[in-house]
Amino acid sequence: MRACLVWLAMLFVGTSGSLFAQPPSEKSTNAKSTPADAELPNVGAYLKQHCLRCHSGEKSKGDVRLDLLNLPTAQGEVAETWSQVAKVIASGEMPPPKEPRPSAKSTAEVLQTLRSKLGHKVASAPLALRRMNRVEYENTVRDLLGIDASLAELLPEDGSVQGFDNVADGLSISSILMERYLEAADLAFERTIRRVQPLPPETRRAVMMELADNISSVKEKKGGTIESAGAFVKFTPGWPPVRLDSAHPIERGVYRCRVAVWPHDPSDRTLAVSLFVGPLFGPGKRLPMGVFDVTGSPEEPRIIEFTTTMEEGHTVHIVPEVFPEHVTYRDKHEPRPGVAVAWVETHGPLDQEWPCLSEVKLFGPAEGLRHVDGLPIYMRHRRGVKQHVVDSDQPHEDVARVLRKFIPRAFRRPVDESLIQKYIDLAHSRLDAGRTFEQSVRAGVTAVLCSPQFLLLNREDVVDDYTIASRLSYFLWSTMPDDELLKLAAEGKLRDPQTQRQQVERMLQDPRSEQFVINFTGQWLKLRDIDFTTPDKKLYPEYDELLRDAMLRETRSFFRHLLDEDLSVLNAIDSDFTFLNERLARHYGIPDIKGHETMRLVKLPEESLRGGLMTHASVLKVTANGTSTSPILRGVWVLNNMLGQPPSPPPPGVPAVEPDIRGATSIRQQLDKHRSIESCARCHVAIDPPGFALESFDPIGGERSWYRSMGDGEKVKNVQYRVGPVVETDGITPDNRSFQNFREYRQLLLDAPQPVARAITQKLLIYATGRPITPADQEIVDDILATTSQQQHGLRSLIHAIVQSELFLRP
Amino acid sequence: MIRRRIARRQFLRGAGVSLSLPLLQAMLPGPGTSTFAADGGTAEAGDVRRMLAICAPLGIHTPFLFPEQAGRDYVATPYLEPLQKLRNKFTVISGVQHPDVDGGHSAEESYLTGAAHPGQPSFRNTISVDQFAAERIGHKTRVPSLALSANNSGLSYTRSGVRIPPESRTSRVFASLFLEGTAAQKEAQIQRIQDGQSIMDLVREQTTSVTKSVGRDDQRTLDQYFTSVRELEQRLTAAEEWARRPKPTVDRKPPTDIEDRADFTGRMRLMYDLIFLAFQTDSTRLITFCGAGGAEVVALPGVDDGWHNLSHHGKDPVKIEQLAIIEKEEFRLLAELLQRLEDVREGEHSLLDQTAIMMGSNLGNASSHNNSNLPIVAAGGRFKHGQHLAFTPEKSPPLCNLFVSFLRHLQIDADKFSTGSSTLTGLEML
Repeated sequence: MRACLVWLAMLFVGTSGSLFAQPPSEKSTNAKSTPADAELPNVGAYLKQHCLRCHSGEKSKGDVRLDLLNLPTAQGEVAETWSQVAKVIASGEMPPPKEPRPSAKSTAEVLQTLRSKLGHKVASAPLALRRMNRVEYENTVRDLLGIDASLAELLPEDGSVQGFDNVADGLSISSILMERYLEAADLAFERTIRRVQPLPPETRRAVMMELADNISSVKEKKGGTIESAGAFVKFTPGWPPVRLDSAHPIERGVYRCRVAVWPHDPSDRTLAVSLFVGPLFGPGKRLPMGVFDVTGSPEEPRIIEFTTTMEEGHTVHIVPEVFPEHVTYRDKHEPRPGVAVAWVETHGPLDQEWPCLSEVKLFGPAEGLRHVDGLPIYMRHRRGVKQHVVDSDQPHEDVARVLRKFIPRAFRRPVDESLIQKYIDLAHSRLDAGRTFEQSVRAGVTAVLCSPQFLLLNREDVVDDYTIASRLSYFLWSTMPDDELLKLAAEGKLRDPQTQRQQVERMLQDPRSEQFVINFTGQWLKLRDIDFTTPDKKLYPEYDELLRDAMLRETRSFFRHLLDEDLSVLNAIDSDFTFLNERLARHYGIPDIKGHETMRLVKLPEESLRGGLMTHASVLKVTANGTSTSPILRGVWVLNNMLGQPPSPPPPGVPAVEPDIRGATSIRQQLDKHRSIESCARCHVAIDPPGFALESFDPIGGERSWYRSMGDGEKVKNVQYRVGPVVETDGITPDNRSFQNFREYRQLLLDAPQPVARAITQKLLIYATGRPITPADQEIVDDILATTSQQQHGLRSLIHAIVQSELFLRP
Repeated sequence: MIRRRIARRQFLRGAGVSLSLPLLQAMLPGPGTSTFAADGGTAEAGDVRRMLAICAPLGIHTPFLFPEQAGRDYVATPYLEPLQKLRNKFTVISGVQHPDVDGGHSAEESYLTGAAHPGQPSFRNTISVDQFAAERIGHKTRVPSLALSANNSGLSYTRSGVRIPPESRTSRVFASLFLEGTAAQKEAQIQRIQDGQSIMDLVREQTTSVTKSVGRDDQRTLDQYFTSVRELEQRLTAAEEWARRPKPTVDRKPPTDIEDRADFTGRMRLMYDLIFLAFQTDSTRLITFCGAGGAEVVALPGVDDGWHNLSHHGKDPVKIEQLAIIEKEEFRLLAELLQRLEDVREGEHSLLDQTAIMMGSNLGNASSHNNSNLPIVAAGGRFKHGQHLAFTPEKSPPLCNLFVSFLRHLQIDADKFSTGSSTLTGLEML
C-alpha cells in the first residue's frame, strides 16, 4: 500500500505538468511494447504512441512504468494505477501540453475500451464518497445538537481540489484528524448541557462617563479621547477601548444589546462604528455584529440594537470608523471627527429554558431524568455555584432511548436496530465500567460523531432519496438536511423533478443558503484570501477596515442578487449595476451614495469603468499583494476563474519577475523582458493580456492611470507616495484581437461570452457535486448550458439545471 | 551513571551549565529509562539524537546572508555575525532548492516534504521529514513530535499529506509536557483515554462494515479512515501509558503567552525556550517550527512598517534596511538557542551536537516570491561544520538531500527521502 501511495503521489506530480517540462531525451519508441498490447491492441498502440517515450524503461518519468503495467485482474494497486491513467488521459492532463495531442477520437476510443474491458476495476468517474469538510462539520453538529459552538477551528485545514474544499480528493483523513474529531465531539457534547441554572433576565447598563476607566482615559488624553455632552468620544479604532464593564453579562446566554452613539464634529462625513462581541482582552474570537452609521445627536442619540450569544464577562467592542481619515497635524481646517458613546445596555439571558433546549433535544423530556449537583464552578458574580450533571433513575434504559432517537438523525437516514444496538452496547459497557449516566451517553454520542456513517457523505452505493436530501442540503446550506427534506425522502418524493424544484426554491429562500453564497464565492473568487495581505500604509493610506468590509459585502450582495433575481451569470463579465455603500462608492468615484451601513443596488453611471466581477475591489485586492499588482497573477486569475482555462505552472528554473517600486521601471517593462524568453512566451501570450487590462486598478481596487512610487516621481500633496510611471493597459489576446484598455478588453469577453458561462457552470458543478469535472463530463455541461440559455444562464436557473442533471444524481 | 533518584528541581539548580541527559534519565522513572533499556541499554543512553526544522515564512534577504566566498574562510555577512561564536557548529548553504516546488508562499507547504507544485489545484502533499522520522523513533518519547508555529501555519504533514495542526500557544505545550495534574485530574484523563479507546474500537468495526457495503472504487477514503482509526487507537494506548507516568519537572514557571504580535523577540524567545526544554528533558526528539512573520509592525527600533510589506520591498532601500533589522534579530535569537544547546553537556557531546537544526525559508527571494536558491543554515548535529557550502544553479542539489543527511544523523537508515536521493554533498558526517 505504501509503495502504491508513493507511486500515486509521483503520478500526481506528473499530472501537474512539471516532470514533462524538460524535453524528453531521445529514446526509441519502436522497440517498446506493453502488457496491454496482446489483449487490448488499441490501448497498447495508444500508449506506445503517446506515453511510452517518457513512461518506460529505467528512467521513467514520475516512476510510472507503463511498459511494465499489467492488466488488472482484481481491485488493487494495479487497477488503481490504470484508473489513474484513465483519469489523466480523460482530463487531458496527459500527454503534457508540449507533446502532440492525440486525436479526440482515439482518446475517446481508448477510454471507452478501458471502461468496458476493465469494468468497475477502473473508475473513470471521480470519487463522490467524501468526508465533510470542517465548515460542514461545524454546521452539521450545530444543527444536530442545537448548539452554538465554534468547532471548525479545532480541526485541521482541508485541502482543495480544482479550487474547492469539498472535493473528495482533497479531503484526506488522518489519525490527527480523528483525534480532533474526538475532541470536537467532546466539546459539542459539553455545550449541549447548560450546567448552571440561568438567573432571571436583567438589564445591565453602563453609562460611559460614569466608569472609572473611561474617566481616566479622558483625563490622561489616552488616544486623544474626550468627554462631550456627557458621552465618551473616541477618534481612532485603537487604544483605549470603550469600557462598559458594568454592562458585561455575568453568565453565558443570549443577550439583547443596545449601544447609544452620536456623531461628534462629523463635518460632512457619515461616521460609522463597527461592533464586535468577545473577550475584552487577550485571545479569543471577536464576532462581528456589523457596521452601523452613527447618526442622531447628544439629545437623541442613535440606539443600535442587536441580539447575540455572549459569555460571562464578554464586552461589546465599539470601533469608530472615520472616513476620510482625519490626520490631526495636517487637517487643521476642520474639527476632529469622532464617535460619541453615551451608554450601553445588555438585557438577558433571554434563553431561560431550564434544562436548556439542546439538552431536552438530546435527552428528551423523560421521567426519571434529573439534575444532580456536580463539581463546583467559580463564577465571578455568583457564589457557591455547582455545575449540574444529568442523571437517570434507569440509566441503561435511558442511554438506549437517547441513542435510538439520536442515531438516525445523525446518520441522516433510517438505521437498522442491529446497528443502533452496537452503539447502545458501547454506552452500556461504559456504564458497567463505572462511568456515570452522562459520561456513558457522552461516549455513545462521541462514537456516533466519529463514525463513518456520520462523517462521510455519499457513502451509499445507490443514490436514494436520502442521498438526494443530503446532496441538496450540503450543496445549498453546507449542513445536514432539515426535517422537511428528510420527511420528503421518507415519502420517496425527492426523485420527482417538480419536488426537487420546489425544494431548491425553498432552500434558497432559507437564511442557511447564505452558507452557499459565502463558501462558493469565498472559493471561486478567492475571497477567503481577503486578509492575506495588508496594503502598504504609505502607498495606500486610504485603505481601512470600512473599505475591506464593504468590498466583501459588495461581491456577496452582487452574487446574492443574481441568485434571487435569476440574473445571467454573464453579469460576471459586465453589469450595469452593483452594490455600494458610501465608503465603496467614494472609492469607485460614484457620487451621492450616503451611509455605510447598508449596501444598496446602484445603477452604474455610463462613464464608470465599474461593472462585472473583475471590477470588484474585493477581487482586485485578492489578486494583488499589499504593495504592487502583478499582471501575471491577475491574468492567471481571469484564465482560471472567468475563462476556465487554467494555464500550466511556470517551467522550473525561470526566475520570477521581481517587483520594483522605486519608480524607474514599470512591471510592464519588466514583463516584456520576461516574455522575450521563448519558453515563457507560450503561456504568457494568454496570461498577460487580461492582466494588462486590469492594470487600470491598483492593489486595493482603485482606478489609476499612473503607478504610485516610493522613490522617483513628482510629489503628491498630503501623501508620502509620488507619481510613478504611466499605466499601460493595452494588449492583444491570443486570438489576435487587440484592445487599448480594460473597457475594450471586457467588450471582447462579452463578444464571445460562452467560455465564461461554461467556466461558471463548471465551478458550480464542482461545488455542487464535490467532484472534479473532467472532459468526459462536458456533454452534461453542454446540456446544462442549453437548458438555461433561454434564461441567459440565470444563476438560479443554473442551480436548478445542475440539481436535475445526471452528474448531481450520479452515485 | 547515577542510578539513584534525585530531587530534580534541586539538581537542576546545582547543575548549572553542565547538565547532562543521562543523569536526567536516572530521575525519570518509567519512560526514559525503560525506553533506553528497550533500545539496548547504555548504547543509546548517551546518544539521543534530535532534529529541529525552522522556517522563516517571509523569506530571508539572501544578499545579507550568503557570503561571497565559498568554503571555510568565508567572511561573515551581517546575518551570520551573531552566529560567529559558534562558527564551527553551523554551515550556511546557498544554491539549494526543492525541484519543482514553486508557487511563492504555497511552497511553505512543501518546505519539509519536497512535494512538487504546492500551488496547483490538484496538489496533494506528502509526508514531512519530521513525521517520517516520527514513524520510526516517535514512540520513544512522551510526544512523538512537536509541530510549533508562531503564526497559524505549520510545517508538519502526515503520510496522507494532511497538515498537523500546529501549536502556537507555548503555555499549552508547556502544560502538556511538564505540568502534573491532581490525582483526580489524572484519573479523569485516563478514563477519557479509555473511553476513547472503546469508541475507536467501535468506529473501526463500523468502518469495516461500511467498506463492505460500498461496492464501488471509493476504497481510498475508507482505507484512510480505517488506518487513521487504527493509528489513533495505538496512540491512545501509548497515551494511556504515558498518562500514568510522572512528567519531568523543570525549574521554570509556566510561560505566559504573548499575544502582541509586535513583540517578535518575546514571542520567539518563549518558543525557543520551550524547544530547549523539550529537547533537554527528552520529551520529544523532533520539532518543527514555523516562525513569525505577518502583517504586524515588529517592535524593534528603526522599524515602522509591517513585516509582510517590508518583505515585498520592491528594491526600495528604506524597506530593505528595515527588513534587515528584523531578520538580523531572527539570527540573533537563533544564535541564543544554539548557544544554550551548546552549553548543555550530554555525555561526550553537547546537546547541540545531538540536535541537527535547519533554519531557512521556502522563499529564495521574498520580493519576487521566488522559490529557488533557498536561504539555509544547517547547525548542530554530527556534521563537520564551519563553512559556506555554495552550489551553482546548474548543480543545485535538492534540499531533501539535507534531510537525508539529517535522517542519518537521527540514526535512521534512509537512503532517500522525497526528492533527495543521497546525503548532501559537502556536508560530511562526523
